[in-house]
Amino acid sequence: MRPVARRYMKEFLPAMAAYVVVLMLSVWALRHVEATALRVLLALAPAIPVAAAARAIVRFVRGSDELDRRILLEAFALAALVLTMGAFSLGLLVMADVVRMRAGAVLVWILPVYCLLYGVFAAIARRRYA
Amino acid sequence: MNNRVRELREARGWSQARLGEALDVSRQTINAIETGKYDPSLPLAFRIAREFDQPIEAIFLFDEDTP
Repeated sequence: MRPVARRYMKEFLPAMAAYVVVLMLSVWALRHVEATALRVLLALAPAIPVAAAARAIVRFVRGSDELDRRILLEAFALAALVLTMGAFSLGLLVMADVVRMRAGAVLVWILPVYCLLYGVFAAIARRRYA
Repeated sequence: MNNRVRELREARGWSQARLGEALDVSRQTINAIETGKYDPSLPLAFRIAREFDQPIEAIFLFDEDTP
């Protein structure tokens, strides 16, 4: 494993583990807290480890060699394109009252779906150069 | 663009991983260059030329048919 990949694993995996723990604590605490300011802090707490994971990804992309960087950036771009097209289409369906969804539920799924799409497009792009 | 990277590497008995390490790129990147699936940037092409101690135009050969 190249040093940049090793560093990525050392930064990304603890960040995601922290995310799971913070998310569970946040969900549990929100059931018992009424004060708005505290609820804001608790609700946003899981975003902190996610930001650390995002930093690890950015450092990984910047540290990768030129072909890897091309593959990763292409995957990021295609994932963003497909995700925004999907969100736009879903928005049209919601506006037309064909589909009913909670805005919060939709927004929370944007990042996981983006990561999933990124993984799929990165794998496809990688195969092209294999 | 065609290139002689594989030929030069094998003549020295180096593995793709060994060349990748010397150039600070992955083995997959070396493989993609050798198979013509990826054309390296100009700085990487110069590093490859320096590694083999050859002029860049002796390693990378422009193909007129390449779009």
